[in-house]
Amino acid sequence: MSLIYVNNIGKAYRTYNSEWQRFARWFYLPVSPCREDWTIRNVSFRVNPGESVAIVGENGAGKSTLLKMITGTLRPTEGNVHISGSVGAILELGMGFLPDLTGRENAIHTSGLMGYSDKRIKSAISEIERFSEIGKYFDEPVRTYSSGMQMRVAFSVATAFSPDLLIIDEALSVGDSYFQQKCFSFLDSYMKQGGSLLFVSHDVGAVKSLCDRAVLIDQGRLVKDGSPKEVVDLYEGIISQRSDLGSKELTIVQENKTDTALINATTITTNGDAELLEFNVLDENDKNVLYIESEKKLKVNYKVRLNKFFERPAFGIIIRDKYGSSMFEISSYAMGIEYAPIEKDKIVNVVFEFNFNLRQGQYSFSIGVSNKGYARTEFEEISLLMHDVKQIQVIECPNSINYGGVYNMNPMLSVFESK
Amino acid sequence: MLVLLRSLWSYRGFVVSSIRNEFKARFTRSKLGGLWMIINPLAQVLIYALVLSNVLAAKLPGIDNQYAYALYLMAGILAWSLFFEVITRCLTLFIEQGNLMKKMAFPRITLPAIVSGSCLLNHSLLFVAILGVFTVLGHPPTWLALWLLPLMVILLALSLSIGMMLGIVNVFVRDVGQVVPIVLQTLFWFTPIVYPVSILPENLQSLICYNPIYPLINAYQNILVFNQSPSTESLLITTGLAFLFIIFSLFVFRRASPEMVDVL
Repeated sequence: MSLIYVNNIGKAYRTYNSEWQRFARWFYLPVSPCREDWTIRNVSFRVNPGESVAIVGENGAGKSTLLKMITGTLRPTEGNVHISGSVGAILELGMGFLPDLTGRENAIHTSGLMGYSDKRIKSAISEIERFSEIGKYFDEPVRTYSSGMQMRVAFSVATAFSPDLLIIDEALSVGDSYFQQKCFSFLDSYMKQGGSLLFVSHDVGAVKSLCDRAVLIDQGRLVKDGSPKEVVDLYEGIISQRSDLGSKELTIVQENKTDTALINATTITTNGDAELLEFNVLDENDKNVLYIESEKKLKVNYKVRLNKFFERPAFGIIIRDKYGSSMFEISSYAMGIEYAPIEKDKIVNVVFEFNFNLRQGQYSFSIGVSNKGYARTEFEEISLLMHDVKQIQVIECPNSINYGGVYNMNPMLSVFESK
Repeated sequence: MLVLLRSLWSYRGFVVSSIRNEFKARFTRSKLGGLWMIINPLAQVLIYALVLSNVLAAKLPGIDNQYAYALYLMAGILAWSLFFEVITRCLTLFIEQGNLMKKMAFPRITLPAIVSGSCLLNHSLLFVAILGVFTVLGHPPTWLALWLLPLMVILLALSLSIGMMLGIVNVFVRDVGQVVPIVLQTLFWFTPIVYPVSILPENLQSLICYNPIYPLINAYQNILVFNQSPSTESLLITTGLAFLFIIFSLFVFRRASPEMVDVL
């Protein structure tokens, strides 16, 4: 039984020639609106108990409309939402706060607005006070609060009743880093205790680290429902598609990997100007490898065919962990190396050499080819971006120090008594 | 309709605490706080009394008190103020609370409920204050004043239903918000509050019975000033009217509330 079942939901904003027609509809008179704008349509997905799902998409894609329909402030024009379990929603922090009341009174007021009984509010109020950590200000009028303090109280109120599902709309982007950290660790433990999360964010890092699944909404349609990594890659592909200045349109392909194909990738964004022919991961003896000892030398060699004249070509590589978080990315342009123009139909060999200091684990390589760099790391034309072309397993280096974190920084250490 | 009432009942705690908060908020930042709710209408009475008493005082038959005209004014304004306050607040209610309605899921019916509760509280305070003033002016209230309790409810129902419909329409057609104050001002002068009905010409007097709130205002005046129980016949009609209005406005509210959020 899923916690939320969104069934083919859609929302249309109706405009009428005259408001009288709208009023007539209330009395069941047959009037058709002169225009219907569908902000979102044909969206279906589920959130299962214990699952955390992110909704990603550009501004205006329809994410907030979708969340409002799920929480019930907007009524869907078609389709429906089934909810089984209690839902706490934070669509906007500090909503419904009255400036002249104290934090405590506002906490009670807002909890009432969320529909909790007086008894439950009474038992939760001390928890709210404790979690918000604003000390004596809790009994001062809210108008004296800074916006960060307001958000602390608001977040504490929204989470104090530990609902089965928490819906959060970009609310975590405010507040100081200490409290943000606290919110994230709260969400972590909340999810460990079996709570579910539905989460809208532009922070792809948070999406990858917090969520088990993601849903991509683009122009009011559900484009993809899959793992956070896949969805974020597609989302970023769409963004580069929109921001690309080249004359040819970028296409994005996501396929299931087949073992037979020579070149694999989870997400390919390309305009056809460049084509990957070969991709090799080599050790220091130029042998193809599937795994490598940490802190050894590693060579990545790929061949691309350029299908047009490249005025200022740039070649890049991205190393990501198994969650899709970027560990390291670099391009020839970012390294300050500019190549001479390359003619059409040439095949180019690109070799990157690293000291592979990443900690043990599974990593993947993504490659990019683009034209005409500007600013620090922007390109006018993105010709090819292929995610997860190859994987590599890094194993522990026997001679290394025992360290925690992501990679070995080879620290120097001295300890001595100060005089 | 039952759904509306049930959700209102489950949010009763919230409604009561909102009314309390609103009342409290009035005291926090001003010295006299809620007293202004009483001072304002009484000041209005005082102004009318000073300006018009010489012209109109002689026209009030059937009462033997040198402050007769002031008493008459107070009774009318007491009733009018409830009608006026409920309508003015309902008129902008949904627009003011638009952001909240868009961002939080809660039964919208609580909003007019809070307004009614808060207005009724103000009205009761004003009522008690006016009873005090009546006693001071040598016209102590009689047991007939108990009639006012059911009258208040009818007046509230009538005002609330009109106010809610105007408030809903105002969300879609904002001109309503500009027109209604003018209409209310006109209605005030077309209702015998400042003047007795007897000074109107005969043909106008027969028209005044189409004024939906006149029977209630008149009942307030009869009870408080002339110590007469209200005429049951016209009150029954008004009660029926208020009942029909309430049903109708709740129906419109139910149909309109999902669309209100769309355009807010």
